[in-house]
Amino acid sequence: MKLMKVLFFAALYAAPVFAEDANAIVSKADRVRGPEGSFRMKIKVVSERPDQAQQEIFLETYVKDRTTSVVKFVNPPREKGKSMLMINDDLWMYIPGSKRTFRISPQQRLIGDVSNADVARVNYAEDYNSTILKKHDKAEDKDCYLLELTAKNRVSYHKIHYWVEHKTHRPIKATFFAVSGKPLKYATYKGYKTIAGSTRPTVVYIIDGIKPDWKSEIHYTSMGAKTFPDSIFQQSALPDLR
Amino acid sequence: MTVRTMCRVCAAVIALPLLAGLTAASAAVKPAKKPQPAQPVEVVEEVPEEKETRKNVVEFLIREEPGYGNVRGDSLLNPDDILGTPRFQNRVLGSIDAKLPIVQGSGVNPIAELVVADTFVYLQNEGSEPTPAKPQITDARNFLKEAYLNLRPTGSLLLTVGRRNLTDGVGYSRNPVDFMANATTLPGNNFDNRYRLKNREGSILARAEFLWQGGAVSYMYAPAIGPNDVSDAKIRTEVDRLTQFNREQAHWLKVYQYVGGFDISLHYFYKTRHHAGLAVAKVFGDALELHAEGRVQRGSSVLTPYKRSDDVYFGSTIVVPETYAYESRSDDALYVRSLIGGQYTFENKLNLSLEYYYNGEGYSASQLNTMYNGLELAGNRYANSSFVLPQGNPYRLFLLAANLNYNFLSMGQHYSFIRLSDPEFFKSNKWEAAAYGSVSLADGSGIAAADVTYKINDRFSLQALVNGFFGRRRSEGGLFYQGFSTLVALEAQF
Repeated sequence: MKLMKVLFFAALYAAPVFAEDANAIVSKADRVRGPEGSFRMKIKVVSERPDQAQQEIFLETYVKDRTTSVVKFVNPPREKGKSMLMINDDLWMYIPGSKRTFRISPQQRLIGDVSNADVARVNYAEDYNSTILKKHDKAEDKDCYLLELTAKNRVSYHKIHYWVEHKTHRPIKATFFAVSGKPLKYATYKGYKTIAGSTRPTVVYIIDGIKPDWKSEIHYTSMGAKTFPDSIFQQSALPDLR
Repeated sequence: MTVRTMCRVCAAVIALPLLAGLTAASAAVKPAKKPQPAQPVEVVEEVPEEKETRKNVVEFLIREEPGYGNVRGDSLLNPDDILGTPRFQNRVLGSIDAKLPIVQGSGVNPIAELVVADTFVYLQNEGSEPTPAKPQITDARNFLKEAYLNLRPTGSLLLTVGRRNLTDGVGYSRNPVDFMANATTLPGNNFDNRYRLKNREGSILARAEFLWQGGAVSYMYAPAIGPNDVSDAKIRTEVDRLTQFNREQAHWLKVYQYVGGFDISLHYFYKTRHHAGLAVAKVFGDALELHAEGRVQRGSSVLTPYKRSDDVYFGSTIVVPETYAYESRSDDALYVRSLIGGQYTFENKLNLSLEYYYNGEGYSASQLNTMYNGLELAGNRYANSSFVLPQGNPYRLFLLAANLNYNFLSMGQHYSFIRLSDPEFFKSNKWEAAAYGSVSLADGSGIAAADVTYKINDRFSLQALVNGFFGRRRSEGGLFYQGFSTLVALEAQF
């Protein structure tokens, strides 16, 4: 009986060690995807569906401390002037056509088949609890950790299976799941280039989980450290954001 | 087995997985120290950071908008179509929106910038004869909606001076805390509130806003600008039109804070009366947003219909006619306007909004009845020359006053609103559709509208809009001068 107790407490003690490792890996992968601290990135989102015209949207994102960001819609003319604020899990949208900033829910996707969070932030460590599913797995011919990320709060995806390269901690691919357990989309991180002082993926290819011929690409065309005043990260500031 | 031996075994049992875990952890976070076989050196292309380019943002919109509306024959406000309602209407709109940085600085926003929003409208009416109300079949007008200067002396302070269309509120269909709401003739037949908000004209004001992450406090002052006495009639008319929303001075203090996932804003507004307002919004789960806003004010400026006199006969001749008029409210009671609502977004992007609006300033059922009685009588007698009094025909005057005081679906007290929108109508990113309706809960009258937009490309779009106005003759919606209206519009943005 004593042995059982000891084993139980040992297991309790040992479990966080594994969890912390997984979180550290995800944290490092986050730092590969985007710099630490506040930074600015320019993004092109391409959405493709069969029998429909390809859609391109150009965005500029200001990221502050990984949980707070503003996305500015730059092009096409129809989208120009819109802006979106994301603080933790909360979202606001300013639409020039209505002259007001609205509170929106995560389900209100505004950029084709890409979620709002996909263009507003680059961190999973803040949003998800991580565990290692496999220490050794292959993805895109690379030795990877296979991690399972489970949403801490109300974020775009309930669960993510995330492949991170052993040596470099580069994200290689990910599968995003709905609450029902169905895969929502598959992503592969490619086009590794030196951007904002480090080697980072510059393209994320996304395939819809239900309709595999619905495809999207997120191109990070520019990225650089920049500081912003706190005052732009609030909904009252969106109408005057330039 | 002794206790000591047992402890050793336990320690080993505990230590092994811990060691294994720690080893895995160190392998995960540290590069392997063992010599690795030589691997090809990865050549990584470098992406130069694009410099921030600051350009003047100038956008143009051109819209060609032919429309048709059928005149409702039994509208109490428009007997015998005295308003001369056009059946066919063609509007050509040209808009320019310019944001011109004057001093750029190194921040995200320029230190000083000029913002201008102007719309020119050319209107052609067909199917009606010129009337005193509509003396011209064609009309061309310019609306300087906004022209203001934004100054940012620090990253946290925004100063605004000029003519600006300030909007506020968390509701979709109506906004009790939208204190600077101005009536404008620009929106035409589109009753969707977002079009009306965008297209209304601004007021001349000065505002200081201090912002921090998640919060802001602002104070706005709008000066009183009375009618001018410029001798040139044309200039006088234009200046008066530009300053029409500044006849009384106004003060607006607003505090906004994002706290615990809630958007909360508190308002104090003064324009001839004291107002206090509150607006709250929050998202629950992945798809549901709920909001509420309200205002309370002391006294009301809404005029109320009343019966001024009864018919007095001398023999079979009416010597004193029954008349109706509008009067100011003498009470100093507290009036409340409030709105609660929410929106739910389905997985396929379909968005459903529902709202309930209470208008404490609205007419009671008996006041509405008085108005309908007055209008019915006026409809029967306005053309009768025997009722001409020294101050004019009282029935024509009442019809005129009723038309001036008519506020479509805002005269009663209880309203509901529903809107269903699909940003990917026909499962295509080329099509957008919305259907919405607003109903007076007192009499069941209202509006139902359907709006479909086809995006030809990134710049051009085609829109079709149908509004249906329904309600009994003696109902708020039934007073509207049209049964339905429709338009198609070709829009280009540059």
